[in-house]
Amino acid sequence: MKLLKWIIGLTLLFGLSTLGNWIVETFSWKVPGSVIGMVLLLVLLLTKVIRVEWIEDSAGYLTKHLAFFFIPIAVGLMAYGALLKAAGIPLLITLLVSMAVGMVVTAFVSGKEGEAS
Amino acid sequence: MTYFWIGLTILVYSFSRKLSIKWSSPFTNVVFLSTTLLILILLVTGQSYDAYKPATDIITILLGPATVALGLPLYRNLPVLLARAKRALGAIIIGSLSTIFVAVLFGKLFSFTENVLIALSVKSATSPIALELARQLEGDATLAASIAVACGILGAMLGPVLLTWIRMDDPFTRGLTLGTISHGIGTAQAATEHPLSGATGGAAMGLTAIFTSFILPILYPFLF
Repeated sequence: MKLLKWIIGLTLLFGLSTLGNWIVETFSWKVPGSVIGMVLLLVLLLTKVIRVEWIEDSAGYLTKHLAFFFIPIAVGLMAYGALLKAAGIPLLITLLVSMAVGMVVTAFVSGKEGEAS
Repeated sequence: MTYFWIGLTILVYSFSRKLSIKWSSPFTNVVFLSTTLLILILLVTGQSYDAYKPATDIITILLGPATVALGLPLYRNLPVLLARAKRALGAIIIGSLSTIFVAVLFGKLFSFTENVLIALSVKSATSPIALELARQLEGDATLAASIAVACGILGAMLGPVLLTWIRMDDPFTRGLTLGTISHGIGTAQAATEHPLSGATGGAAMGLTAIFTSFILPILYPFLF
């Protein structure tokens, strides 16, 4: 039963991801297909076409280990060793400052729960 | 050999994850630690990235379904999200604009080439979008994707510390902020903090990608 749930869950998640990619390509939208797949899953859950129980095990597992799937892409940074060596410090400063400003601004505007909106 | 590298990636990931749970620090961030270890292993054994590349292609197949899976926390937290939608949208728009302006401003101060400037302006969109946008603006696409990844790792490492430092303890806003500034890698970090953070991170990541791809071509003539 548990295995069946996993198979159903993974098939649905794969299917929605593929469908998302197809939609993005067909209509040449500038959004990742997987983000469209995420919205599709939300809509299908809201309309009760997909039941939470079908996907909660597999979806829970994948989101818990989401970081894992980014590791290989990050390893790809080693191909840019030369650029990072040449402009490393100024580039790092730029990334850090723009990140810090962006985060403080975003956090400030979004605010805490219960603040007037 | 591909299976060896996939196996090693899983091993390094499990090790990094255990370490990050035991000692929470920017340097035990799972993506940062795993990536550093794998690059070191490749360098020490005298291999180039090409040896590892096939493992990337296989593991990233699962990145799509894993991102789709964020729809579940999104569904579970939808009432909270809708209740705070107005401020959240404002935060995503003003937040991503501010990071673009500061990045391009500093990039000009350091007189980076236009390719690097374009890469910096698209860095907060998720990598596939950064790649596509840079191509559209006639910049270097792979460079843009790499800078986006670096931006994601830095945000996932230092974002939580920064947010705690400014006393932002609200899981909604913590996730939203990490997703807006550091896309998927930031969202992955947010998801480990709180399910609500994972949900707002995923939503913010998607909305930032949409907003950035809409606004950058308009801003382009003024920015560069």
